[in-house]
This record gives sequence, C-alpha cells and structure tokens, in this order.
Amino acid sequence: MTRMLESIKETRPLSFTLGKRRASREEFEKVALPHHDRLYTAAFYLTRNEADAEELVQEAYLRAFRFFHQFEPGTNCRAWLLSILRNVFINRYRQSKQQPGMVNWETIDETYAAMVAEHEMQDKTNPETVLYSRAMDSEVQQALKELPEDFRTAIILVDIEELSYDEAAEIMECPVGTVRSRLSRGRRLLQVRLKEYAEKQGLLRK
Amino acid sequence: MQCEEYKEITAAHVDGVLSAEERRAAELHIETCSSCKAIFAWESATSGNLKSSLQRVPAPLGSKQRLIDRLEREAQGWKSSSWSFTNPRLAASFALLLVVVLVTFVMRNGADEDFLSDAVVQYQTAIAEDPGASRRAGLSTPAARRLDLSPWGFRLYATKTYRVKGQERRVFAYQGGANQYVVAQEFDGARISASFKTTTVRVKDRDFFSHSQAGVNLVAWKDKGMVCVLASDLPSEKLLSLANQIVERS
Repeated sequence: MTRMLESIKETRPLSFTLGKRRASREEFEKVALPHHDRLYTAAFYLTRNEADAEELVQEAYLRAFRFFHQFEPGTNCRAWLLSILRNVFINRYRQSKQQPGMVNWETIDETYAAMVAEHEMQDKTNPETVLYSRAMDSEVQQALKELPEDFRTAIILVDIEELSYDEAAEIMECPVGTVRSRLSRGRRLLQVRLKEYAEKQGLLRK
Repeated sequence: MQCEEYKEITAAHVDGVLSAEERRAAELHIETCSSCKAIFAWESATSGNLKSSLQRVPAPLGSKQRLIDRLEREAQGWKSSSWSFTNPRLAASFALLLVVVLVTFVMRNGADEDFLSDAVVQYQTAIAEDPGASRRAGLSTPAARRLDLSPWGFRLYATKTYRVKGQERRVFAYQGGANQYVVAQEFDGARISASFKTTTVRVKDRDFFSHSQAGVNLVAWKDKGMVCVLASDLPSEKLLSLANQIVERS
C-alpha cells in the first residue's frame, strides 16, 4: 500500500492549468495546424483514398495535440507531425494483406536496364524521350499509390514532403542507408510501372 | 564500388546528398561502368519530372474546419481557453449541463458497450469541475462504497448517480494530490465489450481490460457481477496496479 502511495506521488503532475492550456493551444494553432494540407498529401498517398486520408490526418492531429508538450520548439514541426502520422497509419490503417506481394526485382531491373539503354540510343536532348513528359501526372500518382509501402513512404517523405534523408530515416525508424536504397529502388520501380502503363495504353489504342 | 552497391545509392547521388568521400567513390565507379553511368544520366534527367508530377494532393474542401471541429470536440483542453471556471455558479451549472447531456447521450444510444466512452466523458467532466464548486452545487459526497480509493490517497469529492435502462450507475470522482484525478464507476448488467481495442491483462485469474481514448486511460474489470471502471490521466500501469489493489482489498 505504501508502495502504491509512492508510485502515485511519482507520477507527473497533470497540466490542467487553464493558463498553460491556453498557451499550448495558441501555439498549436500557430505551429502545427498550418501543415494540414501537406499532411493530407502524405496521408492520401499512405492510405490511398480520401476518406481514410482525412480520418488519418485528424487522428494524427489529435495525438499531436495531446503530446504537444513533447514537441521541441524550433525543430521541424512538419517532420514531427509526419512521424506521428506514420505511426497512427501503421497502428490503425495498415492491413497486413495490403502488401501487393513481393516485388520481383530481377524482372524490374531487366526492364529498367532496357529502358535506360533505349534512352541512351535516342537523342538525349529531346525531352520527348523522357518517359515522364509523356506520362500524365495522374498516372504517376496512381503508380506511386501502387508501390509497396516502404518504397512509397520513402518517396512521400523525401520527394513530396521534401524532408532530408536523415529526417526520413528518423521517421521510418531505419538507417539512412535504407532510405537511400528504398528511394533508389522506389524511383526505379515507379519508372518501370509507368512504362508498363504506357505500353498497356499503346495496346489499347491499337 | 560494385554496380549493386551503386544502384542502392543512385537516388542519394542524383540528389547530391552523398558525403564527399562517397561521391568520389560513386564518380569513380560510373567513370568505369557505362551502364551505371547511363543510370545516373537517366535518373538525373527524370527525377525533376517525377517530383513535379507528384505534386501535393489538395485536401478536400472543409477538411481543415472538420479537423478543428474534431479537436474542439475531443482534444482535452482544446476548448478550455474560452471557458472560465472561476465563477463557481457557472462551473456548477456547466457540470450539471454536462451530466444531462451525458445521460441523454447514454440513453439515446442505449448501448452498454459504450461505457468506456462514457467513462472518458465522465472523467473529463469531473476534472473540468472545480471540486469546491461542485460541492456548493449540491453534488455532495456520501460515503464511497466498494471503490473507495482513500487508502491510496484519493479523496472522494463528488458522486453522481444516473439511471440507464432502469439501472443505477454511480460515478465517483476522486482527487489525489494536487492535480491527480480518478473517476470510478460500477454498474451491473454490462458486458465488457470486445469492440473496443482493449488490452487484456491477467492478474491472478482475473482479467483487467485496459484501454486508452482521448488521452484518458481506462481500466475495467468484473467484480461480484459488477463492472468496475477506473478512468484517469494517470499512466495505465499505475491505474492497473491501483485496480488490482482495489480488487485485493474488497
């Protein structure tokens, strides 16, 4: 019983002071809320649909507000919010079966090498030879949504959210070398997928 | 450097984030390897287009306002900046209002399974009240029954009773130390619902269900045909330990 009393005394004092709350709410509005739109983009590519994305952003902000005292002022708030967002996503939204099987890297690398070789043969100064200028933005976005989660997350954090490799590594809880590798492979995979789309469409047109 | 190695760092090379030493090694490699050199050229030419194609997705209309509304509804402390509890009468009427809203909510839903959510609301209601004000408002304190937390330094400061489907529910709010609160309630006829994401902890043949919601930790257990719930901002391990000691004492 005495031990229990001590353990209760040890617990952190609860911050129900209205004054404190006011300060933190105002700061939260100023520091965290402006990142709403950026967070939505990340949430959309993670969950791959609008309804889940909005719900995920809300859950992440609720949690962020609850733990706002842990945010260190002056550090990158967007990175902090994105790390919460990813955690909520992993805990609540990720379905075990959503990984669309293993990627056959051998086939991907072959196709990729063929693409690069083809590009080498063509006039490099002509932008038309660059696949992305032919792909619609919506196709690129669709291709990203279909990437396996680890590669997708790396691209979301670095290429879309413009975080540094180190920040992305911290959020993904992996070494920075893994971020490099996931980005390299992810971009490669994305290009191969776009080529496959283009071919499929070419066939349809014929 | 081998090709396989280079392929793992292509992105970092293109983005220019390799260390000076790594960059030298990468450049040395592509000078001697035409296929990796072609990959570097290709990636450098396409990465800009890739990034611009993956522009931000516009958030749905009104989504930010819906977020703010939800924060106001659920985040403890979010709305408090605009409320004042300095006036005891205002505080007391507010407390009563919340109780009425709560009872209405429970009766409308009629779902016993919602008791964990109820406990969160009750906890938030209790901590929002000024204990002094609630006494003045006539929410006096009869002797606490089985869930007496006084041995652990928690002083009962308010109880509330309401009926759901003809059953009586008593809620006890306790204050311990300066700013620690626990709300306890017991009632019968309810199942401990599995629809909540609860963690079950088994201590000496008894199951405790632990759950966190809106920043409030909850521990529920069954005792002599009753369901007992503790809700608090205390860490869930502390709450669990408290619950276990209550059970052992009773």
